[in-house]
Formats: sequence, C-alpha cells, structure tokens
Amino acid sequence: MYTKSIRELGLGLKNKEFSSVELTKHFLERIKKFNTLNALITTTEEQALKAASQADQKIAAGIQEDLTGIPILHKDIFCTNGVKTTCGSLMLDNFIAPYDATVVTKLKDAGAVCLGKTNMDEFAMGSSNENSYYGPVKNPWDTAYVPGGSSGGSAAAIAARLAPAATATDTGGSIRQPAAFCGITGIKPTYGLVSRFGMIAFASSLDQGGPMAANAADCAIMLQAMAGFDERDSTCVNRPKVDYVAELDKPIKGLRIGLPQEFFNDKLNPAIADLVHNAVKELEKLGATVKSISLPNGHLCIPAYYIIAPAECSSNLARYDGIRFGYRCKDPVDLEDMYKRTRSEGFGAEVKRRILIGTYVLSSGYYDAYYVKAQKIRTLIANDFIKALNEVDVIIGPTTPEVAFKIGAKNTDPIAMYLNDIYTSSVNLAGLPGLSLPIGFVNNLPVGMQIIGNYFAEAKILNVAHQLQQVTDWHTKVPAEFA
Amino acid sequence: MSFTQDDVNKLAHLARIALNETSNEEHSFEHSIAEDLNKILRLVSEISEINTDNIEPMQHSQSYAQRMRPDAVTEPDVRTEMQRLVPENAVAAGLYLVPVVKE
Amino acid sequence: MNWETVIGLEVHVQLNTKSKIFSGAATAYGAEPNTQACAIDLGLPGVLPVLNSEAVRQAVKFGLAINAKVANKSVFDRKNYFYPDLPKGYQISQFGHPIVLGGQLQITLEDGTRKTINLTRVHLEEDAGKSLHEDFKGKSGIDLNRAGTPLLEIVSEPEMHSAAEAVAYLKTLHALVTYLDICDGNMQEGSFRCDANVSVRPVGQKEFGTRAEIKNVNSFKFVEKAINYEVARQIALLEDKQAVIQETRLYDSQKNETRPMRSKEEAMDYRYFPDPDLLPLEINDEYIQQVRDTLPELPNAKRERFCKEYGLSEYDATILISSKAMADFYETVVKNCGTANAKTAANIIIGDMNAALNKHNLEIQQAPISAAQISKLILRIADNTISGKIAKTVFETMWENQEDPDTIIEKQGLKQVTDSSAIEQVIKQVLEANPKQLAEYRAGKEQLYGYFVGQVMKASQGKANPDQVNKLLKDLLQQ
Repeated sequence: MYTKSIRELGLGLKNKEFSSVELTKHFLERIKKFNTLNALITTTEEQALKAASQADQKIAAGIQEDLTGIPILHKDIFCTNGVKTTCGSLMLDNFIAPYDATVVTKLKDAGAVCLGKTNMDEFAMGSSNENSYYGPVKNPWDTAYVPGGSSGGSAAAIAARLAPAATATDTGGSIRQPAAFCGITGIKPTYGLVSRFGMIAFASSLDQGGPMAANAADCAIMLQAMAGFDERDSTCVNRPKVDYVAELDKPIKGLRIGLPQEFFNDKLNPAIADLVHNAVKELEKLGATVKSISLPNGHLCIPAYYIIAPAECSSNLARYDGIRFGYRCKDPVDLEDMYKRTRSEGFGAEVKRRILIGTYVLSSGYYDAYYVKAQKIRTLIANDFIKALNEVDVIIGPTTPEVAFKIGAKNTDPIAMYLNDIYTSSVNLAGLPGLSLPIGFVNNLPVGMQIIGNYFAEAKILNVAHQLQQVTDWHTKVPAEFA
Repeated sequence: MSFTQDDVNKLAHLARIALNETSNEEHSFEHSIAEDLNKILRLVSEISEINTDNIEPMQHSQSYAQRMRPDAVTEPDVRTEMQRLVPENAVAAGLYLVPVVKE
Repeated sequence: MNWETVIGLEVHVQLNTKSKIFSGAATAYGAEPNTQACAIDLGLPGVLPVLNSEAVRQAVKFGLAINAKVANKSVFDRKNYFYPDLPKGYQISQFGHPIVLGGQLQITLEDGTRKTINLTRVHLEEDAGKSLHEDFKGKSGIDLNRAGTPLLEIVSEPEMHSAAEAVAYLKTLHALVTYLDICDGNMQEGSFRCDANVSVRPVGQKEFGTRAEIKNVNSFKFVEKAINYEVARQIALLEDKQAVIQETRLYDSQKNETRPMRSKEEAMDYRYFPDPDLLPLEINDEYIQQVRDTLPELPNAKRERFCKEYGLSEYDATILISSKAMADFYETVVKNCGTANAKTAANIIIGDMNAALNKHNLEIQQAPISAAQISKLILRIADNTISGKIAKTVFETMWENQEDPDTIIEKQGLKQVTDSSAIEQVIKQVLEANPKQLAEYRAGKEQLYGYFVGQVMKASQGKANPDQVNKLLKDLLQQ
C-alpha cells in the first residue's frame, strides 16, 4: 500500500480494496516501525483514526475528493488546534495552539487524515535537521547522513514512505533541498499562493508553505488543496484557482528550458551536473528546447539571504519572552533575567546566531549598509529571473551543489551549512515557484533537480516534472531498508 | 568591521539573549559566537562592493497593495483558552504576571 | 539672561474604531483584563495582522482636516523593543513613510491672538497594553486589552514657546478630533495622550537647546504645570552652568515635578524596518475625495459662521466652538429661541452654564439642564417675563431642581413687573424716602441717577422691568 500514489490510494478507497482506517493503521505502523529515523515529533494516532473513520463514512456515502481518507503529515511549524506545535524548539515544547493554520484547515476540509507532526530544524533554521531540539532526523537512504533541512522530517518520512504526502515550508530552500537529499518531490510555490496564517514565522517575506510527496502528481493534488486566498494573511494573493492536476498531462512539446550558466560552476559536483544534463535530455526528447541563460547576480543570493532572513527572524522571534506561552526560565530574579534566560535557554545555537546577526544588520548605523543594501540586491536578483523568464518557460538546474552529507560533518561551521542554499535561496528572494525532483544517485545518495517557473506558474513546473516522471522512474525508488 | 566580545555582549543585550560567561566549553555557543558572527559578517559583506545606485529596495516579491478588512468585532473573549498557555500558570485576576516592571 | 522656551508636542489619539487596527478584537474601554485580547493581539506564533479600513479612513479624515498631504503610499514598520506590555516584541507603526505629512493647526490664545502651528507628520500605529504596578505576589500584572488599539500619532514642529501655547494647541487638537468623530477625547481613559518635548535657549540663539521628553501628561492642567516646572528646572540648571540631559521624564502631578524614567535609562535602538507581514498601504485620489466629502464643519469654519450668523464676538464664538458638544448645544438653543436671541443664548451658555459646569466638573453632555429648557428661559427674558438678572436666579434653581423655568418663575413669584402704575408707585416711594439725594440730583449731581435705579430695583426685589424703570424714573426726576 505504501508505494501507491495518492491517485491509486483514492481508487483503492473508492473500490473498497481497503478503508481509510486500514490505510491509516498501515502508515501508523510504519511510523512506529521506523521511528529510529526520528522523522516525527508527535504522532496523533487517536485523532487520525477518528478522521479516517469519518472519511470512510463519506466515501461510503459517495462523497470522495482526491484527498478524502488519504493520510498525510504536517511539518511541526503549522499550528494544529489541540495538538502540540513545537517548531522543533524547546521554546514551544509545551505549546498547544488554540487554532489551526489555514493550510491545516484546508487539508482537513479536503478530507486528508493527519498522522502526526514532522521533525524540523528549530524555527526552520538549518539545512540538515541537526538543529532540532528533538534530535537530528536520519536520511532513509543512509542513516548516517542528514536528510537536509529544514523540512527534514517531512522529507525523510516521505522517502521512507511513512505517509504518501506531507506539508513543508521553504524560506531559502527548506522544501527543495531536503526533497533533493531524500530523493522525493517537493514544490515551493510562488510567495503569496499558500496562506502563512498559523505557519510559525521565520522570515515573513520569504516563508512559503508547500507540499512534499513521492512524485509531482501527488504534489499537484496536495497543492490543489493547500493553495488559495486567505483573508487572514495580508500577503496571500487573491487570484482565480488553477487546476494543477488537470495540467499535469499536457504535452511539453515546444517547452523552452533555460540552463543558467552560473549554476554549473566549479562549486557543483560534476556527477550531479551530468545527471541534470541527462534529465534535460529526456525533456528534449519530449519536445523541449534548451538554451543557456545567465543569472549574473545569482551568486549574491547567499549574502542577501543571510541578511534579510536573520533580520526578519530577529524581530519575528522577539515574541518568545516566556510571558504568555511557551518556555519560561526557572526563578527569574527580575524582568531582564526572565527575558534573557528564557530566550537563551529556550532557543538553540543556530537560532541565537541568526537573531544576533539579524539584530546587528537592523541596528542603528548599519541598517542602510546591510538591510537596505540587501533589499536592493534582492531587486537585482529578481530582475535577472524576470528577464530570463521572458525568454524561457522554465529554468532548470541542480537543487544542491552536493548530495547529502554525514550527520555532524558541517554542524560546527555555519558558513559551510549556509552554502547548501546557493541554488535555492535566490528563488525565495525573487518570490518565484521552484520544484525539486529526484533524477538519479551519486554515491548511492539521491540527487535533485530544480525546476523554476514564472510567478504563479506552478501548473507549468508540475506539468514538466510529471512529464519527466512519466519517462523516468527515480521517483518510484524506495530505500531498501524501508521497502 | 569585526565583532569584539564587547560588541557581541551589546547585541546580545539588545536581543535579550544571555551569554553565559562561565560556559566556555569548546563546542558551546558562547565559545565561538564572536568568531561565528565574524564569519557570517564576512560572508554577507560581499554585497557592499556591488553598485546598487538607482536600484529600488525590494520588500516583497509582489507589487500588491495592502488589503483592508471591515471594522467589525469578530474575535470573542478567549481569555480562558489563552491563559491555559501561560507557562507556570503565571496569571492572577486575569492578568499575566511578570517580575516587577519599572516605570 | 533671557530664555526662550521651545516646545514640540507628540499626541497619541486613540481612534474610535469598533475593532483593533490589526485584529477583530473589541476596543471598548473598561472590559475585564485580557478579555479583549485575541491571539493576534497576544502575538501568538503564526498569527498575522490584517489592517482595519476604518482606522485608515479616520487617519485620512484627520489629514484632510489639517490641510496636510495624505500619502498615496505609506508603509508600516516594526519598532522593536522588549517590554511586557508589547506582546510581539515590536510595535507596528509608521516610520519612514507616514500616512499624513505636514499640515497646520490654527490656535487662539487667551488674549485672542491667533497663531499657526505646523505639524511634522501624522502616522498610524498600534497601542501597547498596560502594566499594572500594584503588587501581585511581588509581580506586575499585564493587561493586553489595549494592545492593538489604533492610534494616530500627531507630531508638531517645535514651534510653541510657552505652556499656554502648548495648552491652546492641545485644546484645539482635542476639539478637532472630537469634531471629526475619530476619537472620544476622554483624557482620563487615555484616549488623548500627550508627550511634550521641552527645551530652552538664550533668546536670539538659533540652535535648539537639549530637550527633555515629558511622557504621558494626561490633562490640560498638568501639561501646563509640567511644562512650567520643566522650563524652570532647565533654566535653573543652565544658569547654574550645568547641562540639561536629553532624557525621558515623567510628570508627578502630586509632587508637581518631573523626574527621569528609570525604564528609559538605556539608549534605545528600535531597529525600525518595514513589516514584512504587511504590504504598502495605497490610497488613491478618488478615495481621498470620498473621505473629503464626509468632512463635517470644522471648528474654524464654525467660529466664522457663528460670528456672521449669530452676530457673536470672536471671543464668544471661540468659547462656544471649543467642543463640538458645546457648539451643538448652543445651536439647539438658538434653533428653539430664534436667532434674535442668539446673543442672549451665548451669554447664558458662556456665563451661567460654563460656570456651573466648571463648578461641578462636568462636560456639557452631562449637564442636568437641556437645551430646550435653556431656550425657554431665554424666551422668558425676551418676552419680558423676567429680567436678565432674575434669569440668573432661575438658572440656578433649574440646575439644582431640574424644574421648568416657568414653574420656577411662577412658584417663586419672580415675574417681572411691567405694570407702569405699579412701577411708578415704587419710584415715588423711593424718591420720597430719599429727599436729600433728590435735592442733590436736581441741583446737578446727575451721577446719583444710578443710585435711584438701584434703590428702585431693590424695592421691587429685582422684578421691575429695567427699561420701564429707566423711562419712568427719568420722567419723575424731571418733574
């Protein structure tokens, strides 16, 4: 059952091959069996079985949508009413939100059954999932390796087939990089497509929720339910709904692909470059044309990102003061002591580093040189993309310069970790949609390829990914231990 | 520009983060924070050399304007639910309790 | 040395919207603690702000009323600092691009001089909660009901040079925001709060002296006292060759002094930056015109109209328009008793009514006498039932017993005597009783005329019609 796509599972439910309760139990058992991956922080068995049973009643009554009765997981950054939401932090270890994130509501309304909450880098800050208060997540392809981050729990869970799909978030690559490291498919939508209400903020102008699944078609079904206007998020865009599923099967003949020359530089593992070229060749066989393009300011995305994201984070995380919710230090001697110890004990090292650097770049005398300057660089980066996307339909390149690294290999060097985002964070800065899908293996570890589209062109990039997945089978591979 | 320990202390105060001065173990946060911040600063300082004359700063990736909601009371009294979240049950008479606030 | 005082004012006006500026929680004053603080006001994880359209409309209305530039594009920024009554650790405000720029306010001083005060800017922001310093097991209590209430911060140029000017400015501003119906103006409840930037410099010096900011002075009287205290303190320091320190000070009304605020001792670095949860606020000219069309008659226009329509002096008109409630009361009275009696109506409201209101510390809306009753009283003066002097007695009884003026006149027998023969009788008695004075008068000591009037009025217990007394007295004196 665990290898089936969402579409196939839906058919199975419809044809009474199995019930949603059976399906839910099946995945709950896998979650238990493979708990050494540490992919989940919370399992919501009771609620899941209740929701599954309700889904079964609906299906029996002939009311079935694409996600009715389908088990999914939520990244533990999405608030869930009545279920602990930790954001991977001691700060929120006791936090039970009295509200659902809009994404959670929408998936509930679509009939999906939530099995639990996935592990993540604390407050979504990290590229290896080693920054979680709940311990590192392991990569199912080799448990000595990281799954990527920050949505490492969701990615590992999908790779190990602990659920057919999961929600995730992406601020600088946090959907695409772990998807690449774990050999699955994940899409970061255009900024403003998916509501951020109830999604705990890291960097508000960059954060965007999106789905992860084994393949692009399942991502399309998930995104269909997650996307859409929300009056509670001022940055959520009100535009007509697009049918991502209907667009999947469109032929891609005539598709214009741009390969940014800057992405294929000496920082890229040549074996990964070869796999990207192979995949592009498959797309050419389907009628796509390829040209080289340039994103001359692309390399500035790391400095710009590591100014803007920490700046926003330093302010977003000021609310964690131990007064109204969350962690509070023991026996504070005065107010200042309460603030300082609550925050230094409740936050982990990487979060504190980013708060400090963010505080610095916003501080008096440095604001223009760092923050405003970075916002200008952001304009340059976005303009490069806009110009390129006038000439091509999609931009394709590697998702990461390297495959997954060993747990512990980079966690003492923040800079080495930051460079994981080199191909992904520019897409967040520009606000564009980007998808990562598996295209092969290097050293027995998965390799991801990124497809970047124009604003709100999710249907197009899902279509391209799906067409590639019709002629390749990388997305069907399951690590042997979990098969 | 590079951070001295004093700069780091000032930043930490501004961000209300305690730096435990006695904790100086090799892998502790305090041990390497000044060095880490300097590394990050060197990384991000690359942009200072880029000419951005006449370039508008970009706050959001989209050019939409702020939406407005009608002036209506839509939120009920949720004090009981909210105060269940308070750590160590630090509430009294419906108020959140904190160490004495100086005026 | 001669010193010049320089004052700039920052006024925080609570807008009278039903819900908060970024959430749907209620803004009503006086609710049980934290019963009007929703997840957004509390800054819970994941929640987001959405802007209240009414707060924007009221800000634009104010901008138009002071002839300012309403910005077509303004930006909400975050002002970052830690304080227990600031749940998010930042206040959403407007720093770089406020909604309203410039504008003027024309003030009238006690002696009638007019002065124009320029405004620097006006911006929208959210209010913070309140820290209650009473002892809760050795802790402070935080009430976040007020957190997120929309505020308009109105910043003047440093163009006022005395406490009196500052008070005149505040009174004018207070009248304006209540006229516009964007604020209830209740200073006790904190709906209208003032911070004063005060400095002194030698007369003739161009550069400003070092200023102190006096926080949250919440009555006109205390503003005056606080500024006067602060000016004296600064002059004393400077004359003693000591420096004024730039700092935030708190006014203690019981000791009548200002003192430094402990919590503001450390230098603040607010790290303003545009709030990424909110997009730029765009206001087009069509919207501005729509708001302009809803502007009510403003105080200055009303004063001019009162002078013209009712033949009032500028001084009288200024007092009557000082609050919308007062002006409305006056106009209701005039509507009932006719424009011919407009001047009498002004005298009674400015004189008797205001004196009684001040004595009992009431606003005109709270007065025990209605506009209709005042009109009746005026009509009794007009139709000679009572004299203006007797009217004062009637007014006092109306205030105390809430009785109808006619009832009072009837009961107390205050009706004016207009019967000529009766008045003549009284005059004759007075003249007979004062033969000496009569002889002196007739010998040319004409100033004794007033003496006879007084005696006649006294003898008639004030009820004799003064015009008739005049006429008859003159006749009889000449006989």
